[in-house]
Amino acid sequence: MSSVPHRCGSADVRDGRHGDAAAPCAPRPRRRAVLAGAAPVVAALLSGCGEDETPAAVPMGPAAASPSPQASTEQVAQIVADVSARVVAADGARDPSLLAPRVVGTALEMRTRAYENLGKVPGLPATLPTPSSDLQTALVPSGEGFPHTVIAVVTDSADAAVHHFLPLQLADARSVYTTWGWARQLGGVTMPAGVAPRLGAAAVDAADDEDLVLAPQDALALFAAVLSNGDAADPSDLLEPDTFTEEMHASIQAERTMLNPDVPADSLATIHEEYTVHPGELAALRTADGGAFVAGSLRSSRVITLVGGATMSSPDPELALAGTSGAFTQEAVREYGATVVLYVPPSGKSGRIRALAAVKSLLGASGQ
Amino acid sequence: MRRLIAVVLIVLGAAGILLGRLGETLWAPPTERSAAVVLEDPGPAVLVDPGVAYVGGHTGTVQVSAPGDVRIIPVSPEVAEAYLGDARHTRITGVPSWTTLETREVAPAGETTLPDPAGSEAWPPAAGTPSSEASIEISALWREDGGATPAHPYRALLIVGDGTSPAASRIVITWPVDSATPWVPYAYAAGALTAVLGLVLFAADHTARALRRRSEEEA
Repeated sequence: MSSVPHRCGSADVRDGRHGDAAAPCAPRPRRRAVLAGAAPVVAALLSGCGEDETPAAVPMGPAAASPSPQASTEQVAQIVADVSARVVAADGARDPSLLAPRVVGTALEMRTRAYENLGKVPGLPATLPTPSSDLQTALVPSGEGFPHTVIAVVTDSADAAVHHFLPLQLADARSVYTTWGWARQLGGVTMPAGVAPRLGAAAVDAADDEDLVLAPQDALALFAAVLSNGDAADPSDLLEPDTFTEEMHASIQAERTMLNPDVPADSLATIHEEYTVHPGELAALRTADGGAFVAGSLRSSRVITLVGGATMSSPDPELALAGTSGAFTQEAVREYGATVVLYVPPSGKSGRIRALAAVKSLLGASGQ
Repeated sequence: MRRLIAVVLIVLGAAGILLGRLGETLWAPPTERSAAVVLEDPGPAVLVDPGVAYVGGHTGTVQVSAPGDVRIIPVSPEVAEAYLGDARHTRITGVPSWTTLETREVAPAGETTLPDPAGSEAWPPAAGTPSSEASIEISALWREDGGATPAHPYRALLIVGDGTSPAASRIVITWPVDSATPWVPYAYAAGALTAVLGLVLFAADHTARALRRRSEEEA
């Protein structure tokens, strides 16, 4: 800009200092200066105009991601605590109604019969295996579809060194988790290698034998068959020996000897206990090593059949429940329920099916 | 005349700066946007489809107004469908504009009641605190879904009371937005530039006048 002012008549008249006539002002420089100053401002105002965008489509999320675990460990701990509290309360009052809604099926029937029987016959076990609220570990599956299944391991309420396997199932989205039984860990049992508590285990269908030595239902059936008939029922030797089976067989043999004293076996009475898989109570979860935990219920009938007109008078408190005052002329029948947990190894690996836990309880007796 | 031009430029510059300030305050755009729907008879449950809450971003809130206490339960869509069964309910399926939510009625002839959700363990018992003005933070939902690396498919939001009363009367999803007006910096810059231009011109004119006065006095 020049330091010598370009005087114009209108400017001189306004500032009153100069009376000299001057050349008339050229309007373009002034107009250009004003426009030069206004243009940036206007441009700035216009530069920010624009329409608001419309919302994006709904994001669908990862399609191939793994489903979330069906329950959290915190939730499982709460459920286990509730189960334990209800069982303790029911045992104290000998009232099976207090077990609802958590305890159902075989466990409910066992407890109901036990409460009835404890009042009738002295000598029956006064305490029943009771899971505590102390959750040790849990297998929690992922995936959709019902039932949701959890297998929890808790300590025994009376002996913290003893563990129970507690299967829990959620039948549908409108229900609560229930259990149809718990099984006490067998002595000397070691957990299979590669098994770890985990969230996101896969549930295994009862009839699914994919990558397993046997399908869960077949594994249970084999276990029941061996309990009933011994090793002859396992020609492929798929099942490891276990203390529960040995104890049951020993019990049968001892009773057979007692029924036939000083005579050849089965001369006076035969005894046989037939085990069957109880339908509708099976839970199987894949373990980290590709095998499976299989929990299920069994029922058994131990039948003493008197031979050749023999009679029997038994002091067994269980047979006292038959209502015959312990005297039998034809047969004596005891009904039991059992909850067992097996480990089924993956196919292609060495190892046999192993019983991890089992518990058996009298349901009733009959005879004549 | 130069002085006049200078004054005009200074005024224009001030106006530009004022515009910038107005753009930051009085004319500032909203800091959030809300999509809402009023529900007259939605049924005993409302299900917000997976991902709807994330349309406007991963922060914000979902707010539910209801005639009674309701809960907002994040749940997998499969579990939600299993719970809802054949019951009549309303689904929130999308955000067609930044002010509205899209709805769809499901099973209009279905059951009119549902089991109390408190009696189900398909979700954690603490999921959703019952309230007539229930809300959930979208950031918490996003975080539980795995954030930027989702661990599992997005969950739906099950809105339900006791299973007998209407689930909601109004649902609002609010997302924060970047509130910076894009032309504000330009207005400030242009206004400052113009004002400085005017000040320089004014100073030059003042100097020239002073020089001329001195020369006239000396003459």
